[in-house]
Amino acid sequence: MKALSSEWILWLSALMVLIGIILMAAAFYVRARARQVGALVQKLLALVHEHHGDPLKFIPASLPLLRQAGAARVMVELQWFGQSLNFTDEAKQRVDQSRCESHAIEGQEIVLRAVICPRRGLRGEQAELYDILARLWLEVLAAQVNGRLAQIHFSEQQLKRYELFYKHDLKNLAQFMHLLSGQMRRCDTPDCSHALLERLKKVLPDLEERAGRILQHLGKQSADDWSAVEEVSLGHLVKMEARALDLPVEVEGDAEVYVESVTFQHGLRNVMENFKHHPGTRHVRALIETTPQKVILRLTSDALTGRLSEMERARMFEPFWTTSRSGMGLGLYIARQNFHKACRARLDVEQLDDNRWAFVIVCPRLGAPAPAQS
Amino acid sequence: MSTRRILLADDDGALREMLAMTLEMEGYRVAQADDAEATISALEKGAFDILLLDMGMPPHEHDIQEGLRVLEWLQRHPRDLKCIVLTGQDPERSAYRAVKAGAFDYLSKPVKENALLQAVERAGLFLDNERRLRQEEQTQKVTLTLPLGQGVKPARNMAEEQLLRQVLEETGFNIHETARALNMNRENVYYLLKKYGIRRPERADTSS
Repeated sequence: MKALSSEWILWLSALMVLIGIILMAAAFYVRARARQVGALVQKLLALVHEHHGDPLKFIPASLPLLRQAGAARVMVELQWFGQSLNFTDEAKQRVDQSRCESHAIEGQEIVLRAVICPRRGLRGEQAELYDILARLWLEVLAAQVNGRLAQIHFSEQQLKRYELFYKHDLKNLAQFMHLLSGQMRRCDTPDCSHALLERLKKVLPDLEERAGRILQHLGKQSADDWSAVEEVSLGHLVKMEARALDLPVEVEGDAEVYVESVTFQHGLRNVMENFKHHPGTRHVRALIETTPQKVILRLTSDALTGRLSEMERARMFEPFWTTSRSGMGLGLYIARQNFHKACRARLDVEQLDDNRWAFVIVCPRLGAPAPAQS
Repeated sequence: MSTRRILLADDDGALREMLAMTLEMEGYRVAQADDAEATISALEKGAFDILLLDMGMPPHEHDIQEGLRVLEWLQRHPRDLKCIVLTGQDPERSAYRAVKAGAFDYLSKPVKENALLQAVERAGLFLDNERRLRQEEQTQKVTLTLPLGQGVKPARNMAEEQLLRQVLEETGFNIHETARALNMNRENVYYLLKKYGIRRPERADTSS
């Protein structure tokens, strides 16, 4: 009986030790997993911070982390200011299709479609780790895209306010000119002329300041109110803008196009300013090609060399993205809008055969506008 | 030659001077204000026949809120004048709001000199005949913007309030004169002042 009891105690002790070892191992495992979750979340947040909420940098940088957390397939389709970008990461493991999560945002300038799927066989805390990371990643991505859309919306509002300010000044100036012209016609005595002159002396400083303000804005804004559709020589427009920017230009070919000339010129100026500020530009080459449906203008220089990645192409037309210290990064973004408005033309960049690239403006051949009905 | 008094409210000094000269050459006497505050202050201090009002003034040159502030002040403190809006704001947005707030006419900048002078003349003509109507027939023209579908009681109250405000402004808040003009006793005038929350302005002649 005694021997039996001591044997039991021995077994019991051994069992207790085993349970203790299992509990310790479990605690160690849970702690390690918790550390892994914490580390991955921290890395993800560090990426957000590091890339300043820029989805184009954040997406490729975050893909290895997602793979580590158990993602077998990540697909992001991004329409970024007219350029299409795809980011895909596929692991060799089989995908658990039933647990795929997707998110879509459709803005005017940015469209996002993201899909993330785990690998098959993820269970327990591994599945939870994946869920946490996948949801956090989707939330961060949505917040970044929405933030960028809000920024654009806000900027557009600011531009509109800007436009309102100069229109207000312009209308006042036009009103002033109307009244001045009336006064000049009616003033036929020396006294009246003297009074008019005295009044003009008084108001000229204010008038000069306002006129200066309008001119300053006109250099930046579109001219939608007074821009008429007319037939113009594309070669001539290029030469005029090059002359205004003091850029040597060589034009090959020519074509007549029906455009809102002032708006088109603003677009052209925004593009050509890039050559002006690009170090190494000796002269600009403008190649004009005509097909029955469209007129193509390619603008290039010796300085535009190398191969452009999809990402670089997307960045080029993104507002507020610039490599210049002095620029705001709005030039090409506004230029693209101006070309569309001027003649439904499309501004893009194109890789040329000789390791150079060019800005390309494709203008559909529109007929002359119908005469306005009286 | 006209001797009407015109108050010009526009933030653009150059344009204001040119408008003033154009109107002065037609014989109008012109005072100037460069923002809503100065306009209201001028209306409080002096009597004008016509107010030529720019809707976009500092600090909101791109919006109509400063012009509306003046028009709304005029609704609360009726003056014997006609208000012509002369503005560069988008007519689709601002004309409706201006007319709703009591503007007599609306001109969009830039307006031809003749059109401007005709508008001023037309406003003067209406003003003269309304004054004549009051003098000869002892009737007061009241313009109201009324909600539809709420019966006649709100209309009656609004007409009553508007009439009372007009007469009070004309009599310089003299309760005795107001009661006489409205053929009421003074107690009834005090009752209506309380009913419509009308307070005696500090600057007004308080003798009654």
